[in-house]
Amino acid sequence: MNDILSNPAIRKRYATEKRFRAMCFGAVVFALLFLVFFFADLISKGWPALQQAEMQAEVSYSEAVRDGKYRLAVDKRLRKIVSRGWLRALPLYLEDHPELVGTTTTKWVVVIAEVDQYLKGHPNKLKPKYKKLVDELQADGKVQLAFNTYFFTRGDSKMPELAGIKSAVVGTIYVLLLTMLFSLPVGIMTAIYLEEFAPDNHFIRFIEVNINNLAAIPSILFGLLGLAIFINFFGVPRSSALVGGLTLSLMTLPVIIISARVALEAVPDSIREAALGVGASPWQAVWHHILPLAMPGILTGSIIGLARAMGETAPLIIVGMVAFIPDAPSSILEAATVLPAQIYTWTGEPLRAFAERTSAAILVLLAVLLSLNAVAIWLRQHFEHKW
Amino acid sequence: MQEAAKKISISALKLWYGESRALHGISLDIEAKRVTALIGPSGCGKSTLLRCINRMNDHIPGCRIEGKVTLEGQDIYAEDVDVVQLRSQVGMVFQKPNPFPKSIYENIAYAPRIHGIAKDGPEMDALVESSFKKASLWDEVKDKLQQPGTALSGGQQQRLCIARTIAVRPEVILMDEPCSALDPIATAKIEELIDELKNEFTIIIVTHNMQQAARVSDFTAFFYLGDLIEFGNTNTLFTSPANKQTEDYITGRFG
Amino acid sequence: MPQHTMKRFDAELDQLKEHILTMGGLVENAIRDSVESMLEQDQELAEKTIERDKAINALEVQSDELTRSILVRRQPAAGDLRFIIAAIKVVTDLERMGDLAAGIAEGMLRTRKFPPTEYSNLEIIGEKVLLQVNRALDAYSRGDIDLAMEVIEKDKKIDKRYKTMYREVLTYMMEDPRSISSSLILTNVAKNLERIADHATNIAEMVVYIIRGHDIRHVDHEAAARLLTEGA
Repeated sequence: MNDILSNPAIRKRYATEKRFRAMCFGAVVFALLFLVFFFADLISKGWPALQQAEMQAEVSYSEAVRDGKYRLAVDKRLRKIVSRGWLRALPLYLEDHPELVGTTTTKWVVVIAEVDQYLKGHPNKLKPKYKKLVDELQADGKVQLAFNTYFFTRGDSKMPELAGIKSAVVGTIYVLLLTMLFSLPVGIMTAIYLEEFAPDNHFIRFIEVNINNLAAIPSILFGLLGLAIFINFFGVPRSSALVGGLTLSLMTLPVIIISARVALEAVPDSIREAALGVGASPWQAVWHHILPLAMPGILTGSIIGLARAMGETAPLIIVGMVAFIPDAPSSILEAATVLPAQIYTWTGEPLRAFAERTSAAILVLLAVLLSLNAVAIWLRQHFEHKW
Repeated sequence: MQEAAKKISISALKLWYGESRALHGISLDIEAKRVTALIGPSGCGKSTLLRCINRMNDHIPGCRIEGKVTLEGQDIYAEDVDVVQLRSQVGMVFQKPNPFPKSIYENIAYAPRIHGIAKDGPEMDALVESSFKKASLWDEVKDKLQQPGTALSGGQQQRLCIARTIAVRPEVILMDEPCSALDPIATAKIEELIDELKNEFTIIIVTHNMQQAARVSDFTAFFYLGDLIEFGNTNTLFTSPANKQTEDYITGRFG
Repeated sequence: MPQHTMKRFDAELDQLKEHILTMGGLVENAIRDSVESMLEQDQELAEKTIERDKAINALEVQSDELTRSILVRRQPAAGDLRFIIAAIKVVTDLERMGDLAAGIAEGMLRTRKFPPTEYSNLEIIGEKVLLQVNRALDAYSRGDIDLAMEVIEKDKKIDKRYKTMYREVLTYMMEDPRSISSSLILTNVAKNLERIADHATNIAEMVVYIIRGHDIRHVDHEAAARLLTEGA
């Protein structure tokens, strides 16, 4: 036998194969680089939002403050750099805690966003005299960056230092729960009917084709549909979690139906036959045997569908869920917003401090989506039956 | 053949799948407590006929039937016949062992429970045990009743399926190539089991393996292209078949 | 009959049939030569006949081996199965026929000193038996049921011939006591021929079994004929 490497045709083939493999690997690296860049950018921008500048100041809970002259609560020198939003909330606070009236306390208070940006070394419009003041305070250890609890405990605000994602998170939970409540039963039932009971005729095939097409429709059209049906026709309150949930249900239904059908189809016919063969009725065969086996697959598909719905903005904009919502909704009929819509609103804000919060909100959204997908993968691996 | 011994009587049975006719008028009497084998090349209609006997074809869209199938004189395609009830009388064992992905115990207990034959508890335990004993599987599974049925070997799974079938105390057991997925030893065990079961049940078995038909059956029916070509005593059919097509098939001169 | 899907199976069945027919040919020759040696008092021919029986025995062993291999590897059914069962029996019959012919030749060697005076009946029986054997083998090789039935029918006549000859030889012994020993051998030879004919009948019966699947052994001729017309 000849030395195969001395054969030029074989050497050429080896070289081609090597090149092809290198190109494929390069494509993977390229895609990965994008991902790394995306995350690095998001994290570098969003991370600072998790920290918030605060200042140690003497706060006097005088009667004047309680009666509305809240600006008097802080020393004049510091007044300009204390968050006005925080000051504005003092009268209400004191009404709730009348025993504090007349006392004075030293505590960490939120400062305006410009100071926050200055401390983080970002571009800002802080006047030079305040910069000096902040520098002095910092030298005394009276200004610091601390964990930004407001970001998680407050709703939207026009003042970036007080703006948080709480109302958006609550809205998202409402909307998702409603979406699940509407789309899961309807979707699974539809899939069971189509997969197990539907006769094979033109009408059913027409329905199947349309369900498949629905999954490919741009999501904004579902928003228009929701607007037309739920708001204009049924009179569901605009901007409410209910209308958002219903609209997203419309969008998620095809995904759930398709994934549930795939999961049902994946249950081998032998199980169906086994059940029918021992005299189970078709209903029993589905309920006792086929559905439990298909459930992990159905749930996986549904979670991925819901995750997609959770990241959806366009249809919600149409049904008015991009409103400025400072307080978390307390019922599904109240105006609410969701995380992606909140992100969308914040991107429209010119202040640098909002850009930071936008990135942080995206990070939170990504973390939730990734954990939802992780749950889906876990479900698939732990409950899916191997044949 | 005595009139009284007839368990199942098939007369002029025709079956269509959509436009194509799969059975061209089959007439056949099955004797009680005997093993009847259905043989023939692929696509000859033997499995289709088997599935007519417990109406498994009902679930196939476009399947249409003409003619009559009676179980002890009762037309099983009559309007007032409940298919679920029929299937508890005519059990079925499939080609590929298909235990439910549940515990070994649950595999047996499921059917008696839905048919209301036994209540959970000691009564069910006894039924499960006796079903396994009849299927010669008790000694192999008694210590692992809570393990999944799919953890058993292929041959054990098939005997589990047989035990599952006999747990509802059927009169007839249909077997659709029950050994085609098994090795020779597992096959021998199933064949031995069939031999024992025929004391209690009427068995109809579809098989591709002619030696198997010759080994286990008392009567053999040869099908070709949707027609019953020859039906008779297995000994006679395998030594002196009356029909030339039968002879060609069983001596390996087909096609 | 069409070919087997396994061509090799056909070849093996053909080979087995060929062995049997070769054996048949050797047996025919042995019968002819042994009777001839007796009639012509040809000692050399008798010795050759005895020697050639070994070839028949060897063929029997070969055929049996082939039959076993077919049984094990092909699991014959129906017509093939009947052919194999018949082959086992026919081979045994032929081997016995060969032994009986050798017995006749040995009888010749022993009657050398006092040859029997009269062979007329022996010649006739010899011819008739040879014809039976010949026809049985013909029926076997062609699968001819009618010929086989004729062979079975004719066997009775051979039996009658044998009895006639037996009585004739008795008269020789009464006439001349010195001829008793050679006469006894002569009756033995006749007995051998009669038994050869019986084996030929067995072969004919096997022909019917191969073709029709009916076992007509130990059934009287009329019943057998009725069975066959019904079957056809």
